[in-house]
Amino acid sequence: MRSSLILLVVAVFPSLCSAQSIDSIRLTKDYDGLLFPAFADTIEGEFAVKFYYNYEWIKDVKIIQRQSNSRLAEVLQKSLVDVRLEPLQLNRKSIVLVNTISASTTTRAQDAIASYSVSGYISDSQSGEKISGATIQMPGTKFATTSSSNGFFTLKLPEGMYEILVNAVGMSGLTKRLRVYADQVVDIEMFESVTELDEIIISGLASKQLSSLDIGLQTISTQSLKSMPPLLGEVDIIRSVLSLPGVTTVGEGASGFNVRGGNVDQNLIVVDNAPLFNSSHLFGLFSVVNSEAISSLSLQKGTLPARYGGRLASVMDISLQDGMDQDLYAEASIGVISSKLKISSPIIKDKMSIVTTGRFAYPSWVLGFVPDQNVSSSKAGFYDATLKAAYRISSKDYLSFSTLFGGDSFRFGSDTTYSWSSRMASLQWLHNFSQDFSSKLSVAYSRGDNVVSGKSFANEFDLKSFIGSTGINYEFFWNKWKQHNIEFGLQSNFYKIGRGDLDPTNESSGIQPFSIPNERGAESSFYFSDAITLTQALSISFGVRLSAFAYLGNGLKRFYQENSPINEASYVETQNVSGNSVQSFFINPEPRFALKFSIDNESSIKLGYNRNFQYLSLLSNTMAVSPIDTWKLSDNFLAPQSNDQASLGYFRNFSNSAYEVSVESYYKIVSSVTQYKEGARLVLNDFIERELLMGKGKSYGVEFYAKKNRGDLTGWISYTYSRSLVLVKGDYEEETLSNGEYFPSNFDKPHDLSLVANYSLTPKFSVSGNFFYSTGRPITYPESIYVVDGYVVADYSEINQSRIPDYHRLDLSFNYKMLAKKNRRFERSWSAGVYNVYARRNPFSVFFKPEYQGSFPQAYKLSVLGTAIPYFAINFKLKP
Amino acid sequence: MRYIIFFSLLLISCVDKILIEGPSVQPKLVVDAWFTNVADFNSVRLSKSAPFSNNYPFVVFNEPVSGATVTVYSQDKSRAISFSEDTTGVYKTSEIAEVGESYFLEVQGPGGQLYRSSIQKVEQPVSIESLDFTFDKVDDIINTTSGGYQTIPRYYFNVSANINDPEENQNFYLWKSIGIFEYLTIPPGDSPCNFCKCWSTISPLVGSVNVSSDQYINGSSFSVKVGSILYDRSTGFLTRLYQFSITGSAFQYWNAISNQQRNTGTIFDPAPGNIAGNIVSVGQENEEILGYFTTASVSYNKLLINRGSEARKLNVNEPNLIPPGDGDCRLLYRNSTHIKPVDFQ
Repeated sequence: MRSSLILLVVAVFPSLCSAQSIDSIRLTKDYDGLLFPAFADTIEGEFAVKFYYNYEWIKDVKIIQRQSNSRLAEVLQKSLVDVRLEPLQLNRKSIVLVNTISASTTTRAQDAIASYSVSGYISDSQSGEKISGATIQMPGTKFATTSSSNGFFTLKLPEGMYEILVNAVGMSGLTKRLRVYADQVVDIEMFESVTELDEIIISGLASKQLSSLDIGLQTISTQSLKSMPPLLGEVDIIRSVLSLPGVTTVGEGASGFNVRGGNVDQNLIVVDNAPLFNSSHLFGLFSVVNSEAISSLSLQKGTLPARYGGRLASVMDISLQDGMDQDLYAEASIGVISSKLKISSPIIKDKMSIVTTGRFAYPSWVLGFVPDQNVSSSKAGFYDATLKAAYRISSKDYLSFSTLFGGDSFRFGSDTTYSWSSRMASLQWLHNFSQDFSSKLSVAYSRGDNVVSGKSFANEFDLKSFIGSTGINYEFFWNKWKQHNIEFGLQSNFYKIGRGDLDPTNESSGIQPFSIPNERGAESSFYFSDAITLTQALSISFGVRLSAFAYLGNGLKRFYQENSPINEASYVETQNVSGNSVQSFFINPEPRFALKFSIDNESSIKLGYNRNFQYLSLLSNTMAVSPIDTWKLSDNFLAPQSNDQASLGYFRNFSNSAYEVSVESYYKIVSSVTQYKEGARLVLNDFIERELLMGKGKSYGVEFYAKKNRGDLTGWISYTYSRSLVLVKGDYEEETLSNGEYFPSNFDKPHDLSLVANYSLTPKFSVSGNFFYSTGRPITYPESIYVVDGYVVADYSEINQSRIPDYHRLDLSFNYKMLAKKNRRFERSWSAGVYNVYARRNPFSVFFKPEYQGSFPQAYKLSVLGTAIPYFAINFKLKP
Repeated sequence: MRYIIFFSLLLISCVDKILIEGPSVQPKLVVDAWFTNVADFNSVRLSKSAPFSNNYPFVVFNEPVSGATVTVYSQDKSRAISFSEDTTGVYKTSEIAEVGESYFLEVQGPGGQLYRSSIQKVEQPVSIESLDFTFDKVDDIINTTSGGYQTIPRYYFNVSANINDPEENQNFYLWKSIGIFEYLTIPPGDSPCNFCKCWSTISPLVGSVNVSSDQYINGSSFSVKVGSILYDRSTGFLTRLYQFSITGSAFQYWNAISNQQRNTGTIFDPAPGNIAGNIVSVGQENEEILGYFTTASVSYNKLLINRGSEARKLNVNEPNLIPPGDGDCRLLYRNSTHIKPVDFQ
């Protein structure tokens, strides 16, 4: 069976170079009657083409050429039709003669044709990793599907000969010829998109953008991650995501990222189905997920598919490598900031495997660059580790266990240490009930912890906070009907949040213990979605997610006077309530819709709409998300956050996907978003409801993206023009911000430009560079100052009406990579470069304080990493 | 207690002083009005805000507004207390507030525009049970001339007040403290010295607003830090403490100012915000008026510390400070007098 399949299924690549295609070759001489082998020899000598064929099949074939100046393609077709062969151009030089469809099947009436099931796994030829989300299409037909998260796909096809086009993120697209005559298994191996076969690559990313229904989907392949200039020797996922259109940050030293005008807490980051709460190392300079551990990463910033929910702005879905089908290898890297180790090992060949990574960092080296005594005496460090073990029980069952933990410690001077950590573990079970029905069951636990430790004499304390989530997901994928791609499932998460626990850490400490009771809540959702291929050009997807949230509280119920603002003055009482009672309950339908219209093979238009709800917020009114921020569940004072987003995009590829261009625009109406009263104190505030407000908002923007996939120079330019505005207009003055008018959010940066380029000098050496420019973040400047009761007070009336100076930065990196060869057991690469080449002191913030008590406040600019930082990192790979 | 956590973090950072121009705005009227059951505290200070511009650090930013008509009315308008201009822009009255009564303020500006406050109640006073102190050694960090720093041990008198918070209602406190330091000088030569001892008044004793609510401690006794006095002389030191029982909304206002004062200007700081007062421009609701009309009942307590003898009791040596030999003590220490305050008797 296998061998016959190999004979039947001939992998070919579509012709790309029209100047040399067999269609364009015209035969000026007369070859009529010549035997095929002789003809082939002549043509090979005359034109830069080569024929590949089975000699037995064509040794007696005579060339049929009716007239001179015929097209080669025409001549070949006519000559070969009797022996049921047809020419396929493999690349600009190669023509393969393959078996053609039998005449009898093609003439049968469509409804009389028996359908067979074609299924299989799509995997990466090098790593053996299963590829999820690959699109499988039959050009010219309505048949198409995508691979499930375990790489499995299934299709019902009538008997016949098909050309299958397979595309996946970061992989070169490939075409297979397939003759369907029975139910069959076709395993497809794909190649990473940057290989020696440069001229015939179809970028997976581009074709996926064109053909997938998802709008606002951004993907970075592990390959393009690797070719990005590393930050201080580390390639980082969140740093890389920041170079994509629509993704911004409030500044260096700010954890997290902002997608299309959304808060940092509106991004769901999932690693193998477990949410991640503290995603940053060193205040956002690095991500907690080591890029070496990742098998795939996607960022969904537009219409979220129905299976994702719980956050408003985006979903970053990360899968860890499972090492399945890989030989044993180890990789290590040593840099100025961190060192990493990765081991990938099979346990039972093709059945069970394990991948583990570890990273340890010593960034104090960077701190030494800062001329400030307090900073250069500070200490910082972080670590993270991942492990994924996978077991392929049978062709129907796949089991994997993933875990990740990471932590940070940052000591400023000798006073205060900030530490934070993340832990997650998930168990995933993929099961195929049949060829068109599969499922994924996952159980996940995740926790984020923050600790602030005060070390000053007689005031030693620990202030702890945490968020924990335990969840179960059961997802189903159903492809019974050929035009439908149905997904449905159930997801439940139980949250437990500690918002503050203050304890003295020393007997002589004067700190009084204080604790805010932990709060709990449960979120459950059911979702259903169907992606329908209506015609070859038009497909739609609709879905609905029904989310419900029960706030179980912290045992306390607060009462305030009615018809008055919620504050200290209107407080009535606190009642103790049973810890198991539902104190608030929310249920909301979340519709999702997407439409794709393919104008032609190279361009498409997509349209999307969705509504999202979010039942937890990260309380942060500081300049950036920091380790003192805590999570809070929605309750009777803090409504769930919600928004509606509509987006429209145009995608086009040029020169056979050598260039991709897209324009996407979006408009987002935020019906409720967590805001804070002016000057709100959130740390250890037991009465947090008095500080919170519900705001509305709107964000809109247009994102331009142009990418060059092939050649010595590769990279992309992205430019976004966007606005993000907030409106807080309560019933009372103190519940109104900025006079009840729209004001820019903290991350309203209208112009955002990223340039990422990689230039191969030789196959071994390359130079890469990044350039970033963005409008300075909004900030509130004091309008005026005045005196009350002898104190000088600054008057900050208009929120975010000024801006800090613009941000721009250039990084350069010089990279060497030993060429990969099949039997090479040792590989080495290194990179050296400079971060912030022209040493711009990009401001993080501008703040005001008097030089001494009672004097006029002065403005100060705070720059994080305000100097050029050189780095060096070396990487080894060993295969025993 | 949450205030103890004083975050200061600069990360991998550089701080540069920069010159910026704030948005150009019209000056706003600032009303700093107090009406209590103690006449000394009853004053309305009218001034104008100054545009922010740190190009001119010596700008006059407290321009008084003279010639206004200032009246405090009881809630039912049965009582009208008019304040007359005492010094330029400062309006005073000898009348006092009645505890339990509610009042509002009306100011008619020199241009005729009327400004009115919200109604504020005079809350019940709460007595200050006692003032006491601890004598603590602290390792102070001193910047050295070479750019580094060193720690040196120093002793402080930490004065605190003990208050029994009443259980039946919510209480909001604002404290104003005054410190009177006794100073000695040495007469030049053998001449008799009339002004070799003086008393310098520092008001306020601490440079920031001191407010609290009984949110965490309702009905129990608590202590509040009043001031921290360096043990650098062996002379007497007097603390006068005035405790204002204020309304919940006044607490919100003064607490917001306190929060602004505590900001250390780092990335952990809350984003700065507007501090809304309780005074509006009648008929011109868009005109923002800064400041607050605060009503309160005031209680008082004091504490005299003989710093030398207290330190000796704890076997701490007297500070090695020779009084200056200039003769007239009053010229050396600000806001001082040679008349011995009554509490030093």
